[in-house]
Amino acid sequence: MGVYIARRLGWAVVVLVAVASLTFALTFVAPGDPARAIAGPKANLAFVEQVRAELGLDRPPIEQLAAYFGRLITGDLGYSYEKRAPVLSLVAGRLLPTIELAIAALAISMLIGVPLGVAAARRPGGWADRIARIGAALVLALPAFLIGYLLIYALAFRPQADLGISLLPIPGANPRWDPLDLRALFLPALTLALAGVAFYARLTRTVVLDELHHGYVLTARSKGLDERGIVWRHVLRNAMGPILSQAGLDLGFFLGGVVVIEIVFGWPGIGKLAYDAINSEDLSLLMGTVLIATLFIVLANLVVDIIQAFIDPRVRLV
Amino acid sequence: MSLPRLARSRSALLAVLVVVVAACSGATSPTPAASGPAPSAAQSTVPSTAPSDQGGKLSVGLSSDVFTLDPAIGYDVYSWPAERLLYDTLVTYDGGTTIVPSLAAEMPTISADGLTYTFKLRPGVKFVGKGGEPIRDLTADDVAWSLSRLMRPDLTPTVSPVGTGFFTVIKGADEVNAGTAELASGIKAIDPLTVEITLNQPDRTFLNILAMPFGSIVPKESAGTDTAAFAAAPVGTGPYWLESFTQDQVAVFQRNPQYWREGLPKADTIEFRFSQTAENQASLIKANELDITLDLLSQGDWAALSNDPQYKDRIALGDMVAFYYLMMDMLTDGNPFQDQKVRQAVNTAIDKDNIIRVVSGRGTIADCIFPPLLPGHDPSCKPYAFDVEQGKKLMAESPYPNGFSTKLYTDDVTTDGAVAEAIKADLAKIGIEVEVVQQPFDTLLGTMTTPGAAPLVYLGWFQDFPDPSDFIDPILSCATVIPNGFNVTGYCNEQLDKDGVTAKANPDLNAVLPDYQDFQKRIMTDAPIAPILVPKLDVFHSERTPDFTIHPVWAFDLQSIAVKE
Repeated sequence: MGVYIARRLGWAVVVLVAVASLTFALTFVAPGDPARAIAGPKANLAFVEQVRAELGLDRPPIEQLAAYFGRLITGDLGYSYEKRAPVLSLVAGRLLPTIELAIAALAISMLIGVPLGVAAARRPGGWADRIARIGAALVLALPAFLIGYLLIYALAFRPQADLGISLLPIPGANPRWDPLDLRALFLPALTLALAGVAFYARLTRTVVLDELHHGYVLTARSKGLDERGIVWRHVLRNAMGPILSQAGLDLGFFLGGVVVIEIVFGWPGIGKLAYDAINSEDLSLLMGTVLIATLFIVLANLVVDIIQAFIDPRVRLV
Repeated sequence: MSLPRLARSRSALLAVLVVVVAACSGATSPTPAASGPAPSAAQSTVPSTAPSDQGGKLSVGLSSDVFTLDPAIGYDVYSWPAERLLYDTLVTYDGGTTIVPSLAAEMPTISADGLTYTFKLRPGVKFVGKGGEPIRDLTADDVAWSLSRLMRPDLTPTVSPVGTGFFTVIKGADEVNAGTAELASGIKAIDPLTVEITLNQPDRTFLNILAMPFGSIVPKESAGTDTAAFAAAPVGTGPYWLESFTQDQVAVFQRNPQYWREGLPKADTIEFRFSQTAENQASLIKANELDITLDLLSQGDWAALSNDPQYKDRIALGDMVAFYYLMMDMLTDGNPFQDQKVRQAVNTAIDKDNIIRVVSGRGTIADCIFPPLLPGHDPSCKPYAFDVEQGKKLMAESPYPNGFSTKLYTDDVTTDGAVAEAIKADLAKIGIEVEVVQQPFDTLLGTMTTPGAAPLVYLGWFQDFPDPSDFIDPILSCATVIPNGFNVTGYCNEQLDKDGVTAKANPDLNAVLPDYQDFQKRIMTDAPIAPILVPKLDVFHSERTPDFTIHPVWAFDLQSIAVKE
């Protein structure tokens, strides 16, 4: 087990270094002058030269790369001249809203999607299967921003306009983000989760159906175990591998920031920050958000791999 | 004026209500040549208001952050309304377009040659900081510091000379701008409550310039060269103080208990809510959870709300003293827009009727530079009729008979993007291949004020003050062809500049209106720009703010909005 974890950790570091190098290369690939790009479009020429000297952008690329990694190791992700703050503090300020949204969305998608998938697998062609399939087609076909606005309209605005009751707040009703304001969290989390529900239902259906054809299921049935127990206690546990893998990937992806959802709901997370960085051509901030997003994806994968190794000993041999 | 602000078509702030401006145009500016104190407006500046109008919280929506709270560098439709909560200027506008004293106790004494303005300051005005605690009294030294500071070249993190162009008329401004003097020699504190300002040449618009938020008076010990630091901990004499500012979320302004102006401000608290889409803001206003938005309604909401009996009465409407126009970079070597025939071809190729349809009728066609409500508007100025064949002919005669490719920059407002796309389609017909690039307003400001960065820009220009010189000097004069200046075209006609200086020295605007009409025709012959449309302003507001009206200069005069709970 120790060797397995060490190997996974090693690969995680390799991926991070590779992505960091690639984002660094961005400074050279991006059109124009990297010093100007980092200083921001509003900077005057003297200031651009100052940034160039401070960051060593007038030195050979290899030297610059070494200096860049030197700064990364000390936690220095650069300075956003556009937002007038260190990138690390900007990203750190957006972490909690993004983490909360990611966990809530993942929880909703799995809590609805997995049971729906199990029900669909137990009776292929039955009501649960049909709901899952039609729902999946519908939700996956609609863009997230449209779902978001439809939900805001139906669940937040109309109840208030028609009935005078504030069922759920319209985004912006409470402009200050509050981690305990679960009502404000619900709509963005649900919007983000809906596609996930459809996806997890389909994934669960497939893997559970697959497991149901294994010999141990036949054995369990012949021992007289009730069907519900077989599916929930034995089949689902064996089927959880791919589902957890996917959950890990999703969590990592969500933690990197969900751009569209965060914009539609004015959610002050990393996705919104990345969007602002792209729009304002803020290269330091963009590199910082990409690195953080990568870090989350790598970490999430690592954690999932390790959990899987505990759940299923065969994984460790791979 | 405010390119920036204007640029934000959404906020439309500068918009001056046409009707009001037209009615008041002759009386808009005090006459600088008159000597002796102008009639004191101190007592009549603001109608006194019953205390019952005061109190409550006004919630204001914006689709992004406020760029800055430092009046030396803010110049856009989001920063100005926020800055006006924190600071005062020497003079300001009444409810219309008439200049009245503000921090000045009375209108200034102006020397017979129109060069020297002497201001008596209102005694006992306090600077307040966090908590609304009084810090100290305002003095004449603060005026000298503030008006010089905005022209300094060493403001950090980035230099923003946007206000400088207006204030270079002050004697000694060039030395400040060059970094060789800290204070302009033309601004003298005679005693703690008297300040004298000397100009290089007479300027009919000088009091209008002082009334812009650039002219806000700030204390030296708080407002240094670090604009970010001052914006984070602002100190001013304005009707509010800043309680908190959470980036991308909310800023809260609380009533200044020391405020000197009777009856103001109206609301006890003003809250700026950042980063909500225009659609969410409209929903919040419908539900009375937000009072007003600095953004224009989205196209969809405009179509729905303006026809909905339940909501249409809550849309305040006004024409703007502004125009949207296509700027062509004629400065950068090798750029095809250096050729006059190409620029004229562009002017003939754009189908403006179609563009008015694209903006759902929220505007009228602009044939020339001065919009209908600006003094000097000339309805006969229509230099380029829509004629694609003529455009093709001009292109054939130009050095680019086979056309060329270029980029058109505009902001991220949906309608501006749609207009840019319409322009792209029109220019394709005369062989000009256009790529449309939409950027957030702040970013676009940087791009367009960087020489050579943007061959074409589509944006609006909103009046800084109701005077035709404001539609030429800041955007089409030689003096503003500088890095970070707003003459994006690089257009420089030295004779026109000279004639402009002469016209501006004349205190009687009506006497020089024919000159300005001639100027705009001369500019349009050179065609550095293509005027596109004159925008309309629509402001959707809550039921709690039934008396909201669009201010003819500020559009949003937030401290005057009463909230009825």
